[in-house]
Amino acid sequence: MRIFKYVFFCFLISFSALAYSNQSVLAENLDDTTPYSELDQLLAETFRIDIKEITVIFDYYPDDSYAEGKASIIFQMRLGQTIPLIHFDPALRYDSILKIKLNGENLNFYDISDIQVVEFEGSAQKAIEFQRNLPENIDHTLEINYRLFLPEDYPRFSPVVHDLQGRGNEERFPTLNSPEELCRHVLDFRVHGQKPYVFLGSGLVKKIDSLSTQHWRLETEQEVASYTVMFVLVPEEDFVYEEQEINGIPVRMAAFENGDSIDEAFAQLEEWLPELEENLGPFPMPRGLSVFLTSIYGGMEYYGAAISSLEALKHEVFHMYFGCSTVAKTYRDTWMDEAINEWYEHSVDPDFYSMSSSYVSNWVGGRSPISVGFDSRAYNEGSHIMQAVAERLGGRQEMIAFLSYLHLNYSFAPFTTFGFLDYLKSYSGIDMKNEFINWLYNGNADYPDYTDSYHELIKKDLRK
Amino acid sequence: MNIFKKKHQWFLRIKHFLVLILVMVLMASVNSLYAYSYHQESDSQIQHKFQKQREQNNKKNKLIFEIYGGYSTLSPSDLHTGAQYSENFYDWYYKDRYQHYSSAYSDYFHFTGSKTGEFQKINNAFPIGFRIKFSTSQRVAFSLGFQYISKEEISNIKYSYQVRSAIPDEPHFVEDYIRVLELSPLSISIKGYTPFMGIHYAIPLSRSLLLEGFVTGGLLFARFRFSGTHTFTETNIYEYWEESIEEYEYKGKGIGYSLGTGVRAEWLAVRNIGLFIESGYSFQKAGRIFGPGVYDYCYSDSNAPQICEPTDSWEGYWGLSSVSLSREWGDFSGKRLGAYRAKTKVAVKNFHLDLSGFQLRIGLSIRIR
Repeated sequence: MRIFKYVFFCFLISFSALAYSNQSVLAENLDDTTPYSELDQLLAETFRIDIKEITVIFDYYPDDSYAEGKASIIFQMRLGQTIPLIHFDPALRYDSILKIKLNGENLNFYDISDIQVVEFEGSAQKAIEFQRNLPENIDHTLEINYRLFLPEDYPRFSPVVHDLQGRGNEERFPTLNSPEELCRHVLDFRVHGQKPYVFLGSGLVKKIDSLSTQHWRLETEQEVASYTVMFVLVPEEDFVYEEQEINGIPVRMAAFENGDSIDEAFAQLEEWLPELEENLGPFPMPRGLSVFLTSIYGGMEYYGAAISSLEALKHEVFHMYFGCSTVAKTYRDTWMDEAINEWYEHSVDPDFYSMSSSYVSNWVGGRSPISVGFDSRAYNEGSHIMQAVAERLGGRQEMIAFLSYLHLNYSFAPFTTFGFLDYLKSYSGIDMKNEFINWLYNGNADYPDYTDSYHELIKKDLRK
Repeated sequence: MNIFKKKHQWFLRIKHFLVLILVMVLMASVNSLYAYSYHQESDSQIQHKFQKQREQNNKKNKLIFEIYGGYSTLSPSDLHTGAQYSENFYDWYYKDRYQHYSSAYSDYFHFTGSKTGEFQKINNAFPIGFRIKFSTSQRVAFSLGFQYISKEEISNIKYSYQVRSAIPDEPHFVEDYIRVLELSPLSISIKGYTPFMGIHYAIPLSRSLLLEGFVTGGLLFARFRFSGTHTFTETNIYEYWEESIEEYEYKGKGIGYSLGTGVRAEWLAVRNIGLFIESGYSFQKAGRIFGPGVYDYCYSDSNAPQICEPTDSWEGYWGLSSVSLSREWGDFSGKRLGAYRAKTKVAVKNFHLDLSGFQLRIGLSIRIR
């Protein structure tokens, strides 16, 4: 009887060791940092093009509640790709396209031999696919003229980005709705109306002399994800506008005359910006920060800019470091931006607890790498996961030091959740892959095997 | 089949009870006739007979068995506070917010829809019990007894709104969506088991009518259960939709005290059987409520399949935690039960199961010997 017990025990030990080693091997395979990994292949097949620059001239007619855009996109085909596509959602909802030219050739949006609307399994983001084969390694130019219908309620022209829902600036100009697609943006805004307007935006903003219009040019200078580009045009008469310099950072702010207090917002930033610079490094955006202060609770971060209420301002400004400069490779990986942000806020509480080692969930692994948006569990559960990382590192200060290292070394170099873990390991020697696989991928390390299920291109005529 | 059996058993119980009542009524009629016959005799004879009979009764009937049922007012306020948190929160989040925006930004914010249903509190219950009384004298008796009280209330609340908003002072500016939130079903229930001792003081008003005052004291073994399902859906003009489902069940039990006082009138319907009606107030409260919680959460949206959290379950002492929020449409403060694992002593002290209330009971007393 004893010999059976012994054999059973040995079997149990061997089985556990095998299971553990399998998990480790699979975890190693999850490394997305190889030059052209399975993930890169999937992203290439889904997004097809690599945008170098987006130039758009917006002619805004506030009295008639519309804007016309003349967009020019310079791009190259991604490795192994020949058929280009672009994201531009208004064209799928209403008749907005006026003209399309690809490399100088006029295309008809309603001719399926020119253009088809496609979607990919695993993503709700529809794409406009151009039925032309283009060679790799040379620049191509896509020109689209279009009209945007804007709300008649109030003459405000701004993005309608909602990252949680996966909505980016493809609602305002043709682009790719993907956080890893970084490119330079040059956006011109010409207001056709008598009322003076205020303009706030990401990056470098210049007022251009013009006799017939009020004209501003926004240049991101840096290559950034399109959904992080902010612009706001509002009538000057309704707003107060102020500029200050905090810790050497130029801060521009506009708020409704009877809205939230600009003074309070500046007072917040006078403490917050120096703290962030001290802990995480120099402010990432050389042109400083533009804030469109709203009274109604909520906010959205952009590159060097935020549309935010007073309550959410610190949160949105923290995103300048994680979310707008240190960026995720896929939408589902953007949970890290929120998790780090929330962790930074809540971890000052000594009772803030780390994620239980027994927690198993799938709110990252359950989403396709090409899906848009992220799971709202990023905020709460995500922050406790970051606390677990902090505890492994030795505490809050040690975690902040790691975040600073991450930001300084990997800004504008999109990485995945497993990239984050690789950087953690190279920084500290701490390997948390197995924990993360349990917490975020349901304990299933075979999630990268998405090639069969997600590669299917669904071609449909989705135009309305 | 089991259902039929259960129903059948209930029917038998009701039948037995009716037969018992019928027998008592018949005996009472006989007793009335018997009493009437006394009027034919002289007063001195009657008084002598009464005296003699009482003495005999007192000698004989020292042990009395009583069963009763009745009505009790009830307001387990901590349970109500914790369980009504969701309704109060969503009233504030939807009703108050939309009303505020609608009046403050009438040009930019339009909504239709409403809330239907409301939280159902436990306001009453029907206690049942029994006691054995031991008379030490003509007027004084001691008792031992047991009472059981239980009640469940189920609420179905629905918030359904269609909103179109283009408030210039809002971060996302343009919102156009339909939101439906159902808190359905929300169920709260309480149970109380009370073994008690009592002291009774009786004043005979006539040969067959007794007036009695009593005080009781005992232990309260109290239980609660609070469960709910929240189903949220939203669809918007950007063809985005989301759905989340939360399900939870919190249970707990604790021991407390039970103190009661009241008066009663008893009619000795026949020689060994009386009918009584009593009224009084019971202070019944239990603290340090301990028990399990279970929480499930599933979420899906147009970008992802349904992803469920693993069932979260735990045990602990229940408490109420304060939540205060301030937004431009108003302030919210509430006390929340069970959304966290009460660890602090303050939270534990916060939550009591209070089953106190006025009680009105009717019952039978049977003189055994």
